Amino acid sequence: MNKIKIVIAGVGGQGVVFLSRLFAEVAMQSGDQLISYESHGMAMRGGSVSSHLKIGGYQSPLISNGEADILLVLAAEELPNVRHLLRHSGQLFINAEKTVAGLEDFQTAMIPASPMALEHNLPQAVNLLLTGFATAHSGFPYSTVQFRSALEKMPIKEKIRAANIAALDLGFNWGSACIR
Amino acid sequence: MKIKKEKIYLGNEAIARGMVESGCGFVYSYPGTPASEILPSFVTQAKQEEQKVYGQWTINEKVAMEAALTIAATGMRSAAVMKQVGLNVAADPLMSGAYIGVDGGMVVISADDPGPYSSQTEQDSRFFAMMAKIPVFDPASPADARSMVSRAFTLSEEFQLPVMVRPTSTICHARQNIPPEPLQSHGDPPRFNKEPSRWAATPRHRFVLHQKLNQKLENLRHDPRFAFYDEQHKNSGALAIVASGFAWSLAADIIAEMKDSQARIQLFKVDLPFPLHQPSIEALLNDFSRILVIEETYPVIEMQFGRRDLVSGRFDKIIPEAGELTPGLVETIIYQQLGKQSPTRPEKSTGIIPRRPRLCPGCPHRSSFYALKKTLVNGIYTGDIGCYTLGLNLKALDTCLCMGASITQASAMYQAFANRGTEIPPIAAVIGDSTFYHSGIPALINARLEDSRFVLLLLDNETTAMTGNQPTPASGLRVNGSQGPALPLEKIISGTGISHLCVVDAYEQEKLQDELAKAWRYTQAENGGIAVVIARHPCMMDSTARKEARRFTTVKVTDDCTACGTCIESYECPSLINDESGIVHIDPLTCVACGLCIDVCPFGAIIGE
Repeated sequence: MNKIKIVIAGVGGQGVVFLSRLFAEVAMQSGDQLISYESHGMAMRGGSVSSHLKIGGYQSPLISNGEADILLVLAAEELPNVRHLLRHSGQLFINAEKTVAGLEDFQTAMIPASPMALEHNLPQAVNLLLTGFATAHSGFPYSTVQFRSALEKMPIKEKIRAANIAALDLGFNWGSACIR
Repeated sequence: MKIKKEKIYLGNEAIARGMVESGCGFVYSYPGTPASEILPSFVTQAKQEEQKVYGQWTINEKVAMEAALTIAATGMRSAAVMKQVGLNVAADPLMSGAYIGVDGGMVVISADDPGPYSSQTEQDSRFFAMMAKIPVFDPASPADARSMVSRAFTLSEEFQLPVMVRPTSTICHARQNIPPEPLQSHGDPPRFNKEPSRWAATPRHRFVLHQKLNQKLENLRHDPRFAFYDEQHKNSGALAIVASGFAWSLAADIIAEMKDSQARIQLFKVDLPFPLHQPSIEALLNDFSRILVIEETYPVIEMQFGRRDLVSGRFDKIIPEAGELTPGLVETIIYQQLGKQSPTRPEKSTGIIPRRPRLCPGCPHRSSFYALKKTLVNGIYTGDIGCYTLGLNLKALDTCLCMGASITQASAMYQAFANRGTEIPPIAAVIGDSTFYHSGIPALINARLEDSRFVLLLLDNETTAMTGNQPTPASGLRVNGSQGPALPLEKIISGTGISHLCVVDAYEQEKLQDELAKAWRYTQAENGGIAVVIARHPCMMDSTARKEARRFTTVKVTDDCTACGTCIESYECPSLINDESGIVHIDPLTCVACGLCIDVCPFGAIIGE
């Protein structure tokens, strides 16, 4: 049984909510107790969107400042809004094209997911690209295989499923290459 | 019995699950964040379970409440679902329905929005339950919400009372893995026993009904099922924390991670904040010298303790009187109450403004607002509730009071100036299609009777966009996808006797400006009156509409961009992005290539190819 706290942040339209659902599915398939929360409503109109995910028998889905073990940032400009949630030496996975300063307290892994998504004609799949990238790292609690299997079960159109799986693999391969 | 595998439920889906499991056959709702997902989920889950149910997106919450109360009067189980401000609209039938009571189980779901995040107020529906004198459950998690819905139906039938379940937005939008329970059967056919002293009670009978209601509440106050304290937890040296709903979940997680908290804190969970279990109140007051009540958003539990010398909370401002509870806030309060320093935590960066919500790329409302500002220059624009409330950012809306108020506000603005004989500024009411159906129609009739003069700009995107694109009466589509009778806006408006009415595609900027100018002239003409312009174009949340919005292959910014910022300020499309130097780029990931921004650039630097 994992006991882990994850925050996912991005802007409306990037698929933060979908990713949060996918993480929940992965956690459940791994036999973990989970509770998660996403911001809805006005936030959905291009504003900041974030999702908290607590795995391992918690009551509330909200993560306190400095308590998240893992932070996934889908849009680099959102980092200032959520960085305070990540604990000291926590894992940060961020979609960014240039190095962000002041991240010494964290274990940071960066991927230029937006241009990669465009280049591979997967414009809507920055979320899965970043996730695939994260699964290549040893500190990440779930494997790319687990995400792939959860994606197979999500109620989405086949075309979107295929794009998501392609992005997941692309991210994973990039991550594996970075580590090597 | 076949045990089903656990599934991940959104809080709202868990509430719907509770309804299906309870054999609830009729659910009525008007969409509103954070309650919008409940009705569609109820219909979908019932279908999966092969249960015959009826669900309707009602025209507004008042109708939802009336319909659900009536179904319950026939002995069947029903529910009315809304957000907290929707309960204001439904207050009239609720207050009366509490006296009359029900026969079959009737549950009111009123979802609160502490913060608030997408509401006009952060009012506490539990207070409303208290005012109506009906019991209210406060769920602490999706799983809790599911089981409380089931308990609420049982309680409703037992006490012949409508029962409220009040989730807060965090509960509605939390996800949790829950094993489903088997379904209960409530397949009794409808029957209506004529009983005028109840169903049609006159004031004399109402007095009797009020006494009966008070007796029900008195019985509930002593019902051991709602005890939240017993003497075996006596620990007089410790701080007693009494909490309900999401506030309890926050406290539970914080206390679980505190060192040796056991000796210093006793946490008690209240399932039914009103009426609060009287023996528990008395025993707690007797056994503890310090009690802290944590609840959202008003002091409902705290008030029922009635002992400000022993009980802390919102009355003594230990807990702030406004805003939602956060883990950090609750942690600080608990440590303070123990006389301890709370753990040092990183602070949120200051000076960072979270990206504010904007209308979507290609949103037809943006085009309509642009035309409005161009034609009714320096006008008073009365606004309403929906995505288009974001017109405030574009300086194209001046007011936002409540659902449907834009029309009355425009009418009253006109009367304010006209009655004092001062110069009347251009006045426009801006309202969306769904809001117009919800409560704009009586307002329009009233404005018409007043003989007011203003432009009514009806933003018709053919859906209820803000809350997730529920159908409006214009399409006649039902929540289960079937087709019902359609009620076009034009017919309703014409029915009020308004003759100046035109429909324009919101994407046709020039024509829209022409029509708005004509409408404004009509309001000033000798025999003029209210002039209605329907700006129609489908919502960009619809993927077909997004594809059809594409009027160019690409839209881009040329080197002529002077970084003046006009497009960003006056158009505020999320696809227009300026870098540090102020030079504007178009984000190809989000741009729908509608090209509506082309006309906005004073230097012609935005081009479509």
